[in-house]
Amino acid sequence: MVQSRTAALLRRLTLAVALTGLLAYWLTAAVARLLPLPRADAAILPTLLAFPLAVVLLLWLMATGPSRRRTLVLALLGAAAFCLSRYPQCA
Amino acid sequence: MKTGALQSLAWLHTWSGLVVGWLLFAVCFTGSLAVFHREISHWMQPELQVNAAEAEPSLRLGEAYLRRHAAQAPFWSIRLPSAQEPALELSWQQDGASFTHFLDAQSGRLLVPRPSEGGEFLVELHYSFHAGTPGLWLVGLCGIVMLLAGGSGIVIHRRLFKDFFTFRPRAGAQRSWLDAHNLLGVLALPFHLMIAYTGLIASAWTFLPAAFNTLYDGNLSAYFLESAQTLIQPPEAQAMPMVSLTQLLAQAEAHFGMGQVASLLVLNPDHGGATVQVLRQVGDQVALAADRLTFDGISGTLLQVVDTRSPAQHSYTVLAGLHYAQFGGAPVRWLYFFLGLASCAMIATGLVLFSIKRREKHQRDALAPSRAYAVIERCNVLAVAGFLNGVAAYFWANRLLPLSLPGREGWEIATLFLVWLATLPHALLRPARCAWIEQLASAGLLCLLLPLLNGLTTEAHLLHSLQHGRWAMASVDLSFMATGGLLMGIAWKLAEGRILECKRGR
Repeated sequence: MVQSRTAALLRRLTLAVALTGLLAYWLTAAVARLLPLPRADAAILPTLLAFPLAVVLLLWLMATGPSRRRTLVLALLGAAAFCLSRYPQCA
Repeated sequence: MKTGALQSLAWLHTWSGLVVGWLLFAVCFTGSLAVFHREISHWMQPELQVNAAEAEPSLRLGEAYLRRHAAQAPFWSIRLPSAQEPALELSWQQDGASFTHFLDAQSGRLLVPRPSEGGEFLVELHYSFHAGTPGLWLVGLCGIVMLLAGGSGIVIHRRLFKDFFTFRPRAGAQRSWLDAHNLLGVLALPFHLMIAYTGLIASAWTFLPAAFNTLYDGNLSAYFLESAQTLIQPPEAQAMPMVSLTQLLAQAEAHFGMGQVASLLVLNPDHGGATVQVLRQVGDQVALAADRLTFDGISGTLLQVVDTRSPAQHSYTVLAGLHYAQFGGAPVRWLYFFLGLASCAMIATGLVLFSIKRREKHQRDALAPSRAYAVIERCNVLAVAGFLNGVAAYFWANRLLPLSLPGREGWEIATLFLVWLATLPHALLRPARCAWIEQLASAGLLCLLLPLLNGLTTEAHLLHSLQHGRWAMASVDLSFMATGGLLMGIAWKLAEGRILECKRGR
């Protein structure tokens, strides 16, 4: 009973970390690409904001559980961020 | 919030705290010491004890010394004497090797300190655990988990205000340790969150390189040059006499104010394209970015003034400055030191609480003792008390190792890790409580005796330091005594009525 609960929580944590990591990475890259600032500023500003936002997102996913719908929405958001970071002209 | 969500976060708080807690204790403890790394280096290299001199004669002395000894070097660095570091420090690179020499700026005498990494090693241990890039990643992971543990701790201990005023030392082991953990966590909560976040920010490009990979193709040097607004003139091979550095110092002091210049960097000295950067001290501002004047080294023309930064860069330097605590002088550094120790105590009480909670549950449910939890309990001893012994041994090695020992600084570092490792069999073989008492007592004794050892092995004993107003040396000696007394006090408290049990090995 306890072991199955621990296994479920570990699965939840793994999925939450993977989603948060991917989203944090590609959203930061996309925002850096789109910000109308000098290059050095555009690089550091989203990086500063990414850490606290990633922690809040991870805690929220751990608390509520990354349901299928949430996983899908976050994965789509990550994919959009990836595309924007590669092809900013799409924005 | 639903019970399931709270349980998930409580699980995350407990296990994330335990898994990185062992390492995080060492990171926080060395971080607390790192705010005084200059004073510690000063204590570990007592040969550098001199009286600070004025900037202008010091610079003249340093310039002449570098012309004599490093005429062909492509790079000179001159750090002027200050109250914290009274010796004149000259560094240069030549034929791929780096050199650092110290001078007594009043007499011009060359100072030869004992080979030691000093406080710099504690700084390195703090940010990378002396393990290079993998260590940096490990410490970064600790920082992220500290933020997660802090965030989940806020949610699961919802009665933050009440927790702050609740401490029941006689309400049973589990309750007392929980109260102590909550109290320490709440007391310094903003500090815990700030220090973990700014620690991550200090090496942000390592932990989250997304924006740097996207905009700079991973070329971090280009980012650093751009963000620091660095101006470098192309070097020329033709030898040309430079303008006197003291002349440039006078110009810089007219701009920054008297006594505000901290150091000078000279690129391609005494050759065409020579560039001189004069850096202002940063102790009177939170932002960790030195204002800078750049001169043409040949003509003395002022090429660039860097004293403003964009809001984004200023945000970064302020966050980094909050972590490095170079501002506000001694009061701020003492505040960081005590808050850092509160972080250590919070982590240690959390680790102890984990063990006590499970041990009491096993006793309550009449279950056989779990071997895994027993190992965890011993690892707690190793991570906290064992590490304190290792750090104390590092300072002992500094005074006891022969000065002529080849690779002496490496042996000092090795002593820390060897003593730490030696506490492992002790923690495994002794009953847990006895291991705690004995290791805390031995660390306390080692710290208490350090000022005595210092007095016996150097001329810079505590009374001498106090009489001559050498506060950096005296404060380190006094801190050793206070730490030793505190650790002995904790060991004594834990040993109440248990000494006979430990003697019998139960």
